[in-house]
Amino acid sequence: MSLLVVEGLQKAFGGLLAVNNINFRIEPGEVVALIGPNGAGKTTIVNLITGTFHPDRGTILFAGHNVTALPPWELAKRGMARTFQAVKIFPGLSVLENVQLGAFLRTTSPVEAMKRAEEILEFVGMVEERKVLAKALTLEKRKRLELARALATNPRLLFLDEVMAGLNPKELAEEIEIIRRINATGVTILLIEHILRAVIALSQRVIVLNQGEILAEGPAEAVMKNRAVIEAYLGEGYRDAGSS
Amino acid sequence: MSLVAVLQSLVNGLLIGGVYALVAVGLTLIFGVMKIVNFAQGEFLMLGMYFTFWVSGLAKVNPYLVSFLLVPVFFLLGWLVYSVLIRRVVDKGDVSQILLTLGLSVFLQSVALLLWGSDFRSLASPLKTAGLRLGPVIMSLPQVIALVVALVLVLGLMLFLSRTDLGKAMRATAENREIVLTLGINPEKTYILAFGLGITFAGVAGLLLSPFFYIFPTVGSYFNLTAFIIVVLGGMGSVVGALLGGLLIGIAESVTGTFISVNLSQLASFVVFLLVLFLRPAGLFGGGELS
Amino acid sequence: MKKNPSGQLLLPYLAGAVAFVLPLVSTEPYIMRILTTIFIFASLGVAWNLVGGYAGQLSLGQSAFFGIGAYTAVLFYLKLNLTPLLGGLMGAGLAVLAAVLIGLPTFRLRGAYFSLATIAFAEILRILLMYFRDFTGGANGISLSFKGNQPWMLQFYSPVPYYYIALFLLIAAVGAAWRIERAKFGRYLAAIRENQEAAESIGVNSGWYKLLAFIISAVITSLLGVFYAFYIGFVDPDMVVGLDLSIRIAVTAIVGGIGYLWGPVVGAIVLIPLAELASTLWGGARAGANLAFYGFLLMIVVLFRPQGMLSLFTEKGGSSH
Repeated sequence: MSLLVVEGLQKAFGGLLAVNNINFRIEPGEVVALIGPNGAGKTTIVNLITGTFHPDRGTILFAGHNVTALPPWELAKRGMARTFQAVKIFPGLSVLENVQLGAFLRTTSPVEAMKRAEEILEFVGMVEERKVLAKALTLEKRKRLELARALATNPRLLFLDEVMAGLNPKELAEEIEIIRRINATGVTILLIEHILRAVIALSQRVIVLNQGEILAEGPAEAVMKNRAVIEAYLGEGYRDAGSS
Repeated sequence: MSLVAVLQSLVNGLLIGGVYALVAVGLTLIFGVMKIVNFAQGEFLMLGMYFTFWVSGLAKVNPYLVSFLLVPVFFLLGWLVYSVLIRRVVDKGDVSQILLTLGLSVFLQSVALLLWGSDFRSLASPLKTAGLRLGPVIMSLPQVIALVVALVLVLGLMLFLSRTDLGKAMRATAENREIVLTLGINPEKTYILAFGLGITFAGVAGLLLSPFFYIFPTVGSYFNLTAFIIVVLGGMGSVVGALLGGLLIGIAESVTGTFISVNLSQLASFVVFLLVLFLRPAGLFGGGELS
Repeated sequence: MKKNPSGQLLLPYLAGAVAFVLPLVSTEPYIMRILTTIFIFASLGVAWNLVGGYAGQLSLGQSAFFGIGAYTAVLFYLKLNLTPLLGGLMGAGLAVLAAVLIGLPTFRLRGAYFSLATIAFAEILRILLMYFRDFTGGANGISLSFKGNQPWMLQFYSPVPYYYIALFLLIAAVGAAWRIERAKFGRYLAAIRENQEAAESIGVNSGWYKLLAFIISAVITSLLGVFYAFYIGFVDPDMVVGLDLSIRIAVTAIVGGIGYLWGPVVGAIVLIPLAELASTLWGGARAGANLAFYGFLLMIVVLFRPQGMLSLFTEKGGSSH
């Protein structure tokens, strides 16, 4: 059974059609990349799936259950987690407390949640900064914190929204490695990305979105060579790995 | 329930509604441009009343003439308050802004109480008893003047916002601060203008009220709450909304007071407020920008 | 919320111990009164803090719950000779109802709207209390005539029992806040305050938690209203349901330290004596002027020391905001 089935998804904002007739599936254990020019509707799709917006039309099935238009917290409980394009950390709380909050989804005990948080911080390599206030972190660290917090909820499906943006080549390689390890623990991942190096390194399958509709779908190399895809990006120019 | 009584009630409501609208327009202007809810708006009305009282009493002039002094003084006061206080919380979020203006409100009320005592004062003016007749309806002259002046000022503001460069700059700031910065307009100028005007409107409202309303330190809180209700009803940031809302609330209160109970007239506006908040929080004309 | 290095945990216990034994040293009525008032406002501030500080929603209508508790207990006592211990439970029940009624629709509103809505509810209650004067005594309020010591009716001749009850209520309130703060509930409230959207994405039903905090806050506040009514022996709408009271409660917590456990306690310790001072200096017709301190300090705190006066005494632990 597919982990995520999206059928006929459609959403308009005040007369402007943001996404139209979106259909795709994600199988358990996959890493799927969602790419496309800015404004194509990638984040909107994630917002629709994770409950931030309600779709005008369409259904979303998660592990066989219809989860269309459920609120975000309900979806989190069922196993969806996400990061945000504009990083949303808890600025006045420490790194550890931020992640602990994610862990609270699966336990009531502060002690257990704290333990789990420490484990996650080890996993992503932020143990040193555990007492630092989140607002004092650099953007790159904040993104990683958000990722750690999402991981702490023990998700089955993780949505990553442009986590690679603004990273230097070393940081990029680290991030790719972390995501690979996350996937290895059994977490299915949907990756919204512009950085093609990451897309190629991580994803088994790529979905290309343009102007709210799916343009192409398939393995990374095949999709990149697709004429229509190249044209869609032409105005943008290719964004190659490491340079932006 | 005679027709005359209904008409009289409507007219009374309209007359007081003009003053409400003036205070509310000041409030909505400040919110529209700076996204700050000025919890002290009513206190500036109170200060306007006392200012009028003292100046017209000391200089022995007609209270309406005091406006020539009041307007520049209050504008400067607005500038001062902005520079010392408001400026520091413009980017600090809801909580700080609410608390600061709330603190200012409490402080001003208490200082007024301290300086002038809790006695109710009233302005001695020959105009107080003057009335106009419009058919079967009687209107007190000071109230009519208040409505007329209020309408003129609000319409003047609307013209200013739509026709002049500075006004357009204010509307632009209200809509999108970042874009305004890239256009080379300093939003701070618009803030000072918005706050100064907002305060001045409240002060003028106080002046207009003083011939027919009691003057006391806590008079502001009543108008404060009513102004908030009107602004929510009309839509935060909508001058048109504040104007119409003010007249509507004035009428609602007057009608409730006349036909149900005087004690419940205030209740009417609160109920309207809650209904709007729950059913249509954006208000009648609201959209978040200044319009 | 705030982690006290273990050394600093000593101070509250010390202060508590002193508070307990004080009446053995002196039962001077004036001191008893001041301290009892401090305890009351500290408790009210702690209750306010649950919603205002922990969850980040500024309620300016707490007096509604205070008044509900006060009037319910008083009316049950007068009409049915019911002990305020039971009347207070009724009051608390009504307060829960009120909290749900107010909270459910308003928590989805932005900051200032929520505050305004809370003001509106309290004002509506106040107007209704004034209007139905045959039942509630209207603007004149209700006086409780003292008929001698009746412990079950919270009537005492000496100020000492009141002192201890108020102290007990404070300890209960602080205890409740402390438990909440450290538990998942309190952590979730902090998350909602820091970034509601992010909190929701990790499984926090923000509306539900905010409502729960509001309900708990309402119950504590209403019980204090019950106590206050029988302590003073008098209620009237302006006193127990007025905007002034709501503002004083909020300011006590904010000036002391919004979001910090001991903040409201510090706030009460600072503000009540100041208010007394102002009353004696400018008392009588200018009694309301003691609020000038509240307003002034509120502005100072907001501008220069948002963490409140508590931060003057303690260093910040790992978490703060």
